[in-house]
Amino acid sequence: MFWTIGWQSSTRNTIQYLRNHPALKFHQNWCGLSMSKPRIAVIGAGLIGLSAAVCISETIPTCSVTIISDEFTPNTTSDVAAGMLIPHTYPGTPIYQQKQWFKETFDYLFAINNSSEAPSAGISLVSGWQIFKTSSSAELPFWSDIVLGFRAMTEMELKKFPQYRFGQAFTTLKCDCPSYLLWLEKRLKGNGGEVHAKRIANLWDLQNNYDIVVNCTGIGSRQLIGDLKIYPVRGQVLKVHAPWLNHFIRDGDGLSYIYPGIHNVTLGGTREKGSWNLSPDPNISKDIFDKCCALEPSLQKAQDIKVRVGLRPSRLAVRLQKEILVQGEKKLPVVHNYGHGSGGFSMHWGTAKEAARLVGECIATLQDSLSKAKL
Amino acid sequence: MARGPSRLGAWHWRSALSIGMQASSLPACAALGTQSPYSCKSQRSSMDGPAGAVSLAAMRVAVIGAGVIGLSTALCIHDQYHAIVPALEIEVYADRYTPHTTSDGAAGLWQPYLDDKGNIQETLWNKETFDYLLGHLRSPEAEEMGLFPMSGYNLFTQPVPDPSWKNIVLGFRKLTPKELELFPGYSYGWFNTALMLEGKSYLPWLTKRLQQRGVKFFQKKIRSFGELLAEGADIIINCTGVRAGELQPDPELQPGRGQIIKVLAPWVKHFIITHDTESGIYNSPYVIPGSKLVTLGGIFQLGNWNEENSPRDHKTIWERCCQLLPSLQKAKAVDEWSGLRPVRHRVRLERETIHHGLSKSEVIHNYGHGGFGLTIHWGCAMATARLFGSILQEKKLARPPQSHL
Repeated sequence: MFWTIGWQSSTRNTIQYLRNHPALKFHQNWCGLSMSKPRIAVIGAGLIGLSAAVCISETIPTCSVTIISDEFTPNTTSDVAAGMLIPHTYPGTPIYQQKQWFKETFDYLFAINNSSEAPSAGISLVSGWQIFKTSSSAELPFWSDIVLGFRAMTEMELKKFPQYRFGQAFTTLKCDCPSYLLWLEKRLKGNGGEVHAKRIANLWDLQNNYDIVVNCTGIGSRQLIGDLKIYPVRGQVLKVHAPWLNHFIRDGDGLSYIYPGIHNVTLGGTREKGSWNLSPDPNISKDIFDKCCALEPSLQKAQDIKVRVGLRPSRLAVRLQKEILVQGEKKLPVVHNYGHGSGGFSMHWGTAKEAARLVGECIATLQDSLSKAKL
Repeated sequence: MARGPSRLGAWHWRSALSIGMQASSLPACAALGTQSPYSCKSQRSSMDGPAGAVSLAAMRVAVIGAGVIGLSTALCIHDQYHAIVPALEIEVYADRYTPHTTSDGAAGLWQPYLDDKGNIQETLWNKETFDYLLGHLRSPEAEEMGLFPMSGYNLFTQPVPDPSWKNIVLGFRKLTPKELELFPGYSYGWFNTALMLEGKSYLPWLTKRLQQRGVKFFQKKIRSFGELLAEGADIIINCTGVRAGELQPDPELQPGRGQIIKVLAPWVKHFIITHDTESGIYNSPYVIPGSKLVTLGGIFQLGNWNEENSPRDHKTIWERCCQLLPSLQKAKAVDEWSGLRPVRHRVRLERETIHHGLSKSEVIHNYGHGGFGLTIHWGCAMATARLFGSILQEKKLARPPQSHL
């Protein structure tokens, strides 16, 4: 017995010695892990940052989650988007992966839609039509069996759109901002998460206070981490008041669309690759309005027209991977979750879950290293 | 709901009269300032009788009722015959005008009953109405008319045969299993795109068109056909809805009392109509979004004349609709209303010759549209106009060979 106690005290002394040894100081943060909760910093408070933060706080309740961002709703890129669950295809991400992310997002929002939380979360179910001027190929989009009631439009239905030859009718979900982002923020805080307003110019600034960083900075990644593969695709939209509209209409070219939400209707839009210009262009506004009125003449009576501009964080593939940043003796685990382009809303919960999983892996790796350091 | 005094706004009966006095075709005695331009008997034109030849130069049509049936029928008749009958004068008499009619309270969804009971005529009138409205969808008038497309769900607890209107609406199909997950407790259903025609917009739109065409409006409760005949009406169009029995007893006509709650729930974008074969049509919860508010309902009480809102019915509607759509729990109730559907086993759309003293007149009945008045209105208006035309034809035949026109 004496001998055991002696062994324990000598181990404790060893840990103290290791902790205070200057050469081994880089372990200090990692040693902190075993004593208190892993500290996760999520950079970015748009849809991707907020959903990742909420997901992490729910799947890994032992950690602390802090969102750090310079912009918040209603000034994020997410706020400009209509929030429709109609995916875009990423050329660089495998289709099965996109399908899985979309399904996870759809199912998650479907459950919220069917609950009394729907209005506060800004979630609604909306039916409508995607129409094509040229006869489409027989190929069905990968998401056709995930949305509800997907089918080809009938002849009679197409009469409503005289210039169009072919169309698809289906029912999907919509997330309205700022409601949905505010709801996510509330949920995060309910789980003990925090939100700080601060611009991060360098990820290493976070190293002292956080164990793992989750990078959800969207188009900001280009500057923050120097990813030249991400580029803006400028989108200008109009948000109007037209409460009698309850169907979405989307031209298959992806440029003209009418997306009715809870409090307004989003009319779009543009896809200007490489443009960083955040100022609204009045000529574009007129063009959008005219094209949407051609699709839906009653829009002539729309009121309260506002214009918004957003830069889609576009990339061939969503970057969803972990990386250990190294600077001399220092290491910083980062989980990247950015580059969702036009498909942020459609994929957000799926990528949030994957990001949480990667954070879990990082924590496991850190704890492994920590226990190795003890020996 | 206040019925109150005769507040008709722009078409108050006095101003209607003054508008009428500007029309060139008024008989001279109208200048006497009597309540109706036709109280001057010497000017009355009669259908037949010893007084002389029938003149088609003046044709006075009295429409009783200013709900969707009365107003649309008046418009239909005017549009079809004002060119053929040079001095066609149409007058609308009603005790209630928009927004106090039965049509104003209805949600406005185009959807016939599930079972047409073999009544092909009514199915055809429904189709005629749908096609007519569909044709107006892209017109600039649509928003003012209160017309817009609406998709949604009909839900059942067991499989049912397809309805008579499945090929009239757009994109009719059965619900998928995933869609049925939206509605626990229901195992079968339909999805289709139909139309909304909101009475509160449509009736003012019809009224405006009628005023532009010189149709006159009077707020007056007509107690007998004779009352109008005595004032010189040549043809009466009876669109009195649920109170038609007061003009002429009709044991087949009964009130089908409904109550609705209007809530603010802009996240609801589909209609949801549940069906329970045991409780009968409209006695099962329904949720119908409008252009601004969502109508919650599910009450159908045959024989109940009470137009006051019932707290018990309110509770029934609210609880059942919240159970159907949990998100409604967060909805704010804004208004409540009770109305009497004019229920009849079939619509009464037919001519009848009414005798008044020595003279006689034609009455065309167009009432008894139950809970599908907006759904069937245009088909019935056209049918009424055809009957009107046949009356004109007969009058032509009754004319002596020499025409004074």
